[in-house]
Amino acid sequence: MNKTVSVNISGYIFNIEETAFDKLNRYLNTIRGYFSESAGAEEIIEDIEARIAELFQERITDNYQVIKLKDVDEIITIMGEPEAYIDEEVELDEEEEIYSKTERKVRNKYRKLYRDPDDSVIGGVSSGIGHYFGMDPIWIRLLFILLVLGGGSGILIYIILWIIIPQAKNAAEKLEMRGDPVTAENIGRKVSEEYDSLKKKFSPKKENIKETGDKVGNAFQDFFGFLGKLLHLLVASLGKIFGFVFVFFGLLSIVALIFGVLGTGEIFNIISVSEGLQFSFHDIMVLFAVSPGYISWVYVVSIFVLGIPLLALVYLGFGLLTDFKLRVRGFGLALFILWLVFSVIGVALTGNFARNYIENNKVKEVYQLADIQSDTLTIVVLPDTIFDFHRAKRFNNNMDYIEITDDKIYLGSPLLDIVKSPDNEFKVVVSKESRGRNRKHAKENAKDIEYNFLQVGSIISFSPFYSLTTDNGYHFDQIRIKLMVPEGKAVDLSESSERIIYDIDNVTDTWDRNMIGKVWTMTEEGLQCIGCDKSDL
Amino acid sequence: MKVENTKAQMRKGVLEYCILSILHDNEAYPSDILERLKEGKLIVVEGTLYPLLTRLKNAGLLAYRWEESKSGPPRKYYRLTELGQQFTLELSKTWTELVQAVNTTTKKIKKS
Repeated sequence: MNKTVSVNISGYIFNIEETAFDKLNRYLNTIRGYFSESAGAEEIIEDIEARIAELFQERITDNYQVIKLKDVDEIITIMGEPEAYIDEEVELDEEEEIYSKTERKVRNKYRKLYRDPDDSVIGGVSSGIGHYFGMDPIWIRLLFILLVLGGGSGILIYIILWIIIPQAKNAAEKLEMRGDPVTAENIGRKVSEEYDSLKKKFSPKKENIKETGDKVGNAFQDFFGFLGKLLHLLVASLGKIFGFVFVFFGLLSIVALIFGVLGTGEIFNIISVSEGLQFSFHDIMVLFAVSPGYISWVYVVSIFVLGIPLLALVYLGFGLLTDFKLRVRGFGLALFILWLVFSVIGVALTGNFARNYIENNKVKEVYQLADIQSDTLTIVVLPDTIFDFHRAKRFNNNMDYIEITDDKIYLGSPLLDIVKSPDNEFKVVVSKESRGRNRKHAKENAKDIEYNFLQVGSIISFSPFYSLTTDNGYHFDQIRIKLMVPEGKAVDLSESSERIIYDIDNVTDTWDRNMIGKVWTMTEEGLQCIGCDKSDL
Repeated sequence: MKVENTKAQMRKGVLEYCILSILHDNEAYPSDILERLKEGKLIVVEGTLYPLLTRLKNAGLLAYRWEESKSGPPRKYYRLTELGQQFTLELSKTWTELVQAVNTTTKKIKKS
């Protein structure tokens, strides 16, 4: 009387004697262990199992229902010993094996770092490292214990190693872990050993004889094994979360990018709002008077330079979420090269663009003020019809003082300084600064700036902005006004002048803000507020 | 140096060409292929064949379709792909040349 088990091979159920099953199982495991590294291993095993199922099926009749050891032996004869499965790649290994007998060092060639599931207290990290260096794992364990006691970094190191070092799953990997050559023969031996030890483990008689130390070890292993599973689960789910975030934001950004660039360029608005800028991409193109051809280049380059990394992010996310892998060789490299090419074009475009702003120059216009009836000149700034002065802090961001209309660009940041006049006349020096390809170009651009002020009697009114033509565009233009005050004469800084005064030197080092609403007299030392309360300055 | 090893190496070298040739005219299922190979004593056991077929398939030389079988799981029927056809022709040319070359070089040994 023989015990039989029922097995499923390739979707068919067979009743097979236990001894026959053992043999068949060992045979298949040996083959599986051998193929574990090569491509298409699953498929080969499936083919072999399907063939075995077929051969079994041929044997079974109404009178012959159970597969016996003899059948398995016959099938192994038909299919061949595991060695017969060796494809040519292995021949190299066999040659190396000859060396390994003469030179021990070569053995390390085969050695790979794995966690050893058969000899583990926690996750098999120490024994794996032990195998790798050919040491007793006890020393590695002691080292970890020391690291844990002395600072606790051991725990973290252990967990990281646990995660990154793969477990030796099959016979081939276990042989590699120990540094034994992976040959069919060795795998066969290893599989048999494992099978025997597994049998022992599950055999009920043995359980009572288990040593106490072993039990403690097992309890440890169970506890930490559970922790390990939890940790792996955590890492896995963290990966999923990251995967989801990557895919979600990646796709969102790609859609936004395409709509933004093909549409109105509003995406750039979204990006820039966070920096306090109120410009669309289109506005910036107008501001710098970029030609339409150039703009389309910028659009195309932007899509590729920003889009490719986003695509990579989505791909990475998909990889984390699922096992999906795009198996097109060189696809990533091609994308990277494409990205590099467009980045280079982008840099070239930017460089070409930046060349237009490389030099600076200015135009100075000096105006003599006449018909001033009094000794005090009152400074007024005309009402601002374009900029909302309180919209933003003035000196934080000059970009807040740019307004674009169909034919003009208005800049709202003229800067007024007050200095001593070299003679007895009030003078206004308007200095128009701009940038360009070269000094000449910069000067021409400076001439393009239009700025107005008006003096009637003892009141001088400055415009709160200056303007450029959109044809010429913005070249980091700046208006600086110097009001020259003769010694002994005074200026009255009205409330509205706060709009344009900038860093005016005075005897008392009073801040611009506190100079407003006071009369300042030009003395030999400089501007001075005569009759002002000191606490006011 | 064992003579058995050298013999095995020789057989292995032409095995791929033989498999491709068998499939050149009609598609076949591994057991059919095996029968033909056994006739020529190129293969003794079936196990050798499966990894080879998988590798040739992965290289794009072979393709297969499933066919239901009365006596077991569905079978894979292999056939040559376009690439496989070209590959086989190429090998065929080389083989003819090789046979000639080997014959010419080994004539003397045969006589003595």
